Amino acid sequence: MHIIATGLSHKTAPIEVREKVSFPEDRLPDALECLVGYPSVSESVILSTCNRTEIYSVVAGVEEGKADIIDFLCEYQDLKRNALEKYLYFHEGPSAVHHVFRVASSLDSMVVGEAQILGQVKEAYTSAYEAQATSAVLNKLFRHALQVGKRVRTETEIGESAVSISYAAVELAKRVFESLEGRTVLVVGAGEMSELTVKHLIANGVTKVLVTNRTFKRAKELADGLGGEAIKFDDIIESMARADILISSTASPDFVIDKSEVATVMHRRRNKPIFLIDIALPRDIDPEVGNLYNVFLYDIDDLQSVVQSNLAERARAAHLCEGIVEREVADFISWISTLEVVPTISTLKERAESIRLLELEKALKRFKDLSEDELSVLNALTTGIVNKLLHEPIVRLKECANQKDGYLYIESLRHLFDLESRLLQGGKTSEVPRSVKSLGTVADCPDGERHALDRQAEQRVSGGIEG
Amino acid sequence: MEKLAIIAFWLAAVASITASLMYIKNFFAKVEKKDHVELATLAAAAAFMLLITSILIRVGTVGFERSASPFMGRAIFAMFITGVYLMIEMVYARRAPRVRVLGAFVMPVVVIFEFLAWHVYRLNLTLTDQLKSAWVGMHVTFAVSAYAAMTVAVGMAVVYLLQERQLKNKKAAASAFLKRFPSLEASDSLCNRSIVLSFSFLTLVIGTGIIRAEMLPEWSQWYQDVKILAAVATWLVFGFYLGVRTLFDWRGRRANVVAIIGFFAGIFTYFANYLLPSIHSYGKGF
Repeated sequence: MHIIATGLSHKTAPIEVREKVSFPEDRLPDALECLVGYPSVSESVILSTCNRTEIYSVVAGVEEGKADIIDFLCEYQDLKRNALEKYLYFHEGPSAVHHVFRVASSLDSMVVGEAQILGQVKEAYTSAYEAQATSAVLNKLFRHALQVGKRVRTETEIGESAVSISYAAVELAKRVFESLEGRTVLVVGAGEMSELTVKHLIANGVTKVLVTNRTFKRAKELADGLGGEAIKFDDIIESMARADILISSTASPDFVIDKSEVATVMHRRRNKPIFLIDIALPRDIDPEVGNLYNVFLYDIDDLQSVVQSNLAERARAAHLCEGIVEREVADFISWISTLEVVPTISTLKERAESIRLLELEKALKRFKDLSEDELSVLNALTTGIVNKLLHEPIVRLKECANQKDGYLYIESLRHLFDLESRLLQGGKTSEVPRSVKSLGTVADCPDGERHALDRQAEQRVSGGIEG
Repeated sequence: MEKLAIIAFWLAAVASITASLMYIKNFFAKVEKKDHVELATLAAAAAFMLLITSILIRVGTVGFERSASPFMGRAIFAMFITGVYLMIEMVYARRAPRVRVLGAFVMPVVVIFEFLAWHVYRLNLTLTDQLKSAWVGMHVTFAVSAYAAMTVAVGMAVVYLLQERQLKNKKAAASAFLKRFPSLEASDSLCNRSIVLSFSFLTLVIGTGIIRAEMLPEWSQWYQDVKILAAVATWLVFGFYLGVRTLFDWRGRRANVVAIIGFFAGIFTYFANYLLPSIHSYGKGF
């Protein structure tokens, strides 16, 4: 019985390859059924996201297991073996456990600390569970992995702060205003990044969106897209007096908003704080504006540096997470080792021997003055019964252990003779069957966490600007 | 009965220590646990109720005049400050949960005052005839309330200035610590309200004090008393705060700096009779 992980990810394979290998959700049950049909494979979970496709399996032997899984991938996805093989990585035993724990903890993700992966791992496991492709080992492994994924998020700051520019803007706004509920945002000019930011703001409670642009027609289009109200460009000062947050991203080569204008606005606002976000290049808002009383101005570089330092923070947290993962792997390994045949047999023998001695002692209390001979007969009798009784099960167990699903016998034996607590002396009690449903979903995650994808979107955008 | 009051006071101290630890723990906790948050509030509420109980039992058994002592002064202050904090939590916590940070500052102050109170438990204060007046009773109660409110105000003003400096310097990410502080908007508004409260109580303190002083010929020179002058100065600073805030829209940094100056004037007022001769000299501990 061996756990192996086979797969490819953004680290080893380009998108063209990942696309071909990925499994759409509706085909998973079928694929899983096909996979566990291979002779060496007894359990499987397929984790397929846009960044990775990985197959976790319990196999009878490592080499034949690997071969079967590659065969399955090639046949099922209609790929050439030698074209696929160079992108694949393998982990076996403790290393496979380590890998799945790191994946669930988002330590292996493109954006370390992103929250989607935990939900994706959960979905992958649920599909496999429902398709009856998992059994004791992978059930335990994935439930444990999901717990590890949750644990790193609650015990470290790995998922705490914004790592996308648009979300960093929202986080900053929340430090100026207690709540974004019912606030007004004014959008000047168009752009993918400002739309993204507005969407985040709306998700956080902003109710009113004002949109303005040099050409009113364009403003109108943008406003329709964002569900907002179009404003004439000449009315910008008037609108700023009404807004709490301003996002500017025009293509203008000069400053669109200067200091004296904002000073007028602040006077009209009676000095109520305003948060200005300038994500245009070249900048739209005179940086001098930031020195005005109760004006908080962030340009794209400021936001970028916030993101950078948050990323550094995550890197530090990731270091802590690695430690947590190591410890959890050790825990899991100590559980899995109880499934080994040799320790199980010796525990069984110990258990039988201790019962024998206990019963013998009880009997001896009733017979006083037994001779040496009588004593040795009694001893031999009890030993004989115990050994005879255990002989067959032990021989059969040894035979079965090397076959497919052999550990099921071991597990049954442990259960029938109540060996669990004895095998795990000092360790945790073995079975913690938590309902899968009680483990969190993506919806449970703080909303600061939906930005891993934004970041990718932003990279596309900023790539576009640079190009 | 006196022992009952002592036991209630001790239990209040235990509750306050629990509340302090819980608020501090919640502040540093990575994930907010609902029952921990509730436990903190519950402990603070228990401390408040127990302090009231202890004070009432004492007043009830030995009478109003004989119960006045440095111990009582400090115990009442601890009770008021807990009460003011709980009121803020009740009003604000739903809209601005981050105001609970204040608990981590206020509850330890409560604990300190309880220890200070216990420290002077044996000290007795025999009330002179001058002090045996309902005016004096009101005067002291208002003073304690005014101090309690300004303590909250200065806490919020400091939080505001720290947060604002970070946002202005664009070092917003440098300290994850300040993310747990209330937003600029919340701390500014809370500071403002606390000052409105403190200012109103100060007005009443000065008013009742003057009325009582005018009744007695030996106190007719009250306008030369250092504690009274300091109180008037504090009152003026807070008045200035409220004035410029309404008339010139001085919200934010400027207003909060004024609030902190006002608090220092308040501290000076509190200790003035320790430092300089004053007609308040027997009132040490108040």
